[in-house]
Amino acid sequence: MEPKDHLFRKMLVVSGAFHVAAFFVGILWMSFRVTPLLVAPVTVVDLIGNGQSAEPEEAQPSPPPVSRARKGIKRKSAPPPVAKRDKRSAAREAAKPRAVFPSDSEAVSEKIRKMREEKASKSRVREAVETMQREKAVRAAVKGIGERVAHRVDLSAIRPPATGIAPRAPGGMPGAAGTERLPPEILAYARALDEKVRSNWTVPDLARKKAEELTVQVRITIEKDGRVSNVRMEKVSGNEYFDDSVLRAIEKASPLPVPPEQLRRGEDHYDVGFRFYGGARS
Amino acid sequence: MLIIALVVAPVPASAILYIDINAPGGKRMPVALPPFVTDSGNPSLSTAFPNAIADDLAMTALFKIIPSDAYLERIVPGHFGDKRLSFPDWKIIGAEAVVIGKVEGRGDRITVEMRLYDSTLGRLMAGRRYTGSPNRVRTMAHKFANEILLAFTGVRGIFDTEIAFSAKPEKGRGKEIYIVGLDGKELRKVTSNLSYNMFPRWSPDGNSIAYTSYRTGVPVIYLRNMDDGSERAIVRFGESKSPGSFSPGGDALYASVSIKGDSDIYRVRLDNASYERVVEGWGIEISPSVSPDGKRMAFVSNRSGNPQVYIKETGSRGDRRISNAGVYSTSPSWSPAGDRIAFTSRTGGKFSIYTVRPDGGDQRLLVSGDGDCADPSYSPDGRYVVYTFQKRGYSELKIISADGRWGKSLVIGLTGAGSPAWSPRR
Repeated sequence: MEPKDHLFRKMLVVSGAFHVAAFFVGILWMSFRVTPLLVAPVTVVDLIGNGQSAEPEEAQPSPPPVSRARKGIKRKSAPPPVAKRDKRSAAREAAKPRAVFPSDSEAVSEKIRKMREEKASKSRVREAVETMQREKAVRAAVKGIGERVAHRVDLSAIRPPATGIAPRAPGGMPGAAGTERLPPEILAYARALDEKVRSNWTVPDLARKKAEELTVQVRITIEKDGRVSNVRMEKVSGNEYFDDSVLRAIEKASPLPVPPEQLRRGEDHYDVGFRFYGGARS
Repeated sequence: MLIIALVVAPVPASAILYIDINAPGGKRMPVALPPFVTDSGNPSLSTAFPNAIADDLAMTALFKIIPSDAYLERIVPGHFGDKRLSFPDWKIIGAEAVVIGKVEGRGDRITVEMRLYDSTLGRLMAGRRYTGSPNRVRTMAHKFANEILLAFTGVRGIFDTEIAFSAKPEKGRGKEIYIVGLDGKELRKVTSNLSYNMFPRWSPDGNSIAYTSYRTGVPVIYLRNMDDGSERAIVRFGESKSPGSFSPGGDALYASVSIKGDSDIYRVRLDNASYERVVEGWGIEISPSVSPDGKRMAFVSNRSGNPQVYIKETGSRGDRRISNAGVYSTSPSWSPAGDRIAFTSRTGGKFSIYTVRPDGGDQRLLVSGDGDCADPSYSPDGRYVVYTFQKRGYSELKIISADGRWGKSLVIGLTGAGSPAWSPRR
């Protein structure tokens, strides 16, 4: 037993030494190993579009006040982009003007959204058809007149030189037949409108893909106090970001310069159109 | 030049005036970024979020931030409940967009709710709630900055992407792999082994990096999982070696490997590490960069006597030289759209960055400086290029817009910075 016990103790010491050595080798090896770069995940919850999570993993239970907020947002939220675009293209196919009567900035967006959604009940459809027919008749009449005596006036001569904007080729207007010297009060007022709207128009370059193809035609009604009471998209560009920038420009520019008495000719409002171009036209 | 069109009717009352306006170029959209509402014990977060978003938006050159002393309305917790923003107050200071946020802290997790309003039309354009640790503030801000750009342009931002590169550590020797955010913040070390670690390349999903390390004494290409830090060796054969780019599907890595002094380009499968030679020649073939559609590969060869960039089409014999800038051209990087290739070339005694079409046409100088500009890598949206600037041992990581009009330093004060690689979108 004795020698065996001695041997056992010897083995114990050797084993212990090995373990200690292995421990230090391990430490050394670990220190040479790369420290792992751990990235804590960030959870995302989308508050628009039914609150769908862009990164669905780790969906967090929402606290009551926020879920209420979410509901509120949903009510006001714009439809999903795809659907929006579909409706937009449908609207474009219809190519009929639709009136919006803003009372304030809230109402504008509300109306615009309605215009986009445009999935109306029967009465609304009837109403829309009637409006469209009315508009069509008016437009046909205007077009007929326009073809006979349409005029295009280049304001560049009387306008102060636009700084920072490179001169571009003037746009051709369908039915444009010639130019005419406008009465000075119209010229002056047109210049004031042009300046006010242009200075309030911001459209990110990134939102202007195929810029030369983008055109929006808008007709607005200016009350005698300069307030814009009616914005009618006569032609949309098909690029919702560009269209929105136009609506923002008009809304931001309102109130517009007060239309002179001579232009209103007894009416309490004045109608004027704008054509917004994304780039140089040929 | 602006035109007014007048449709004159015989009855003057029905005359309609049309005013033509061309889009103003280069005008920045004014954005208000009021301090975030915080109920946690960390008031610095109320400005940390808006500041990070402001940095991101400034980079696009599409937005300008309205100074906060102009703001008329104070954001309160109620704005995240029933209280509406007073849009006229924002409209009157010229803001077209307002970004508000609320931070709630729970231990080491914070939840931030951010909202983007179109203050002109008075509507909510984006709303997101993010949950993460307080040291991920900038990541959360970057993600929402992406949403802002998307809401106004239809193009998603790349603000949460990162750039991997190698550089000499401040202390110690060798070279380590680093990662830095697109805003130049959150610089961190990926490797730390006092050896040489170089040529980081992102996998297409952005979850892994392939790089060459000499940490065992011989060069080996490792694939590192960026989530858990685990690594495995994927290229052991041959002598010196460097990863070039992943296949678009992420199942293979194109790398240059030299065997008995002859460097050729190999395709290495990531599942079983099997490899095949895809470009060979009597000279040196290095720096493979695969086109986004996977059908072509740019690489560098000295078969004409000095290094130049060539294109190889799959299934076709013979390669086409596309670089014609200087006597020494290297490090090609394919643009995400596949329409341009950026590369480094030596002209006039220094290195500059050029871009060229894949057919070799329309070569243009992108950037040059009073030092060496080298190693370009395109951003995932193709709008920017990251590169290194070197001058007498000093180096920087720099970014330039792909049209060359805008640029900035991303990381300054580096030594031996090399081979930056822009991560894919997250």
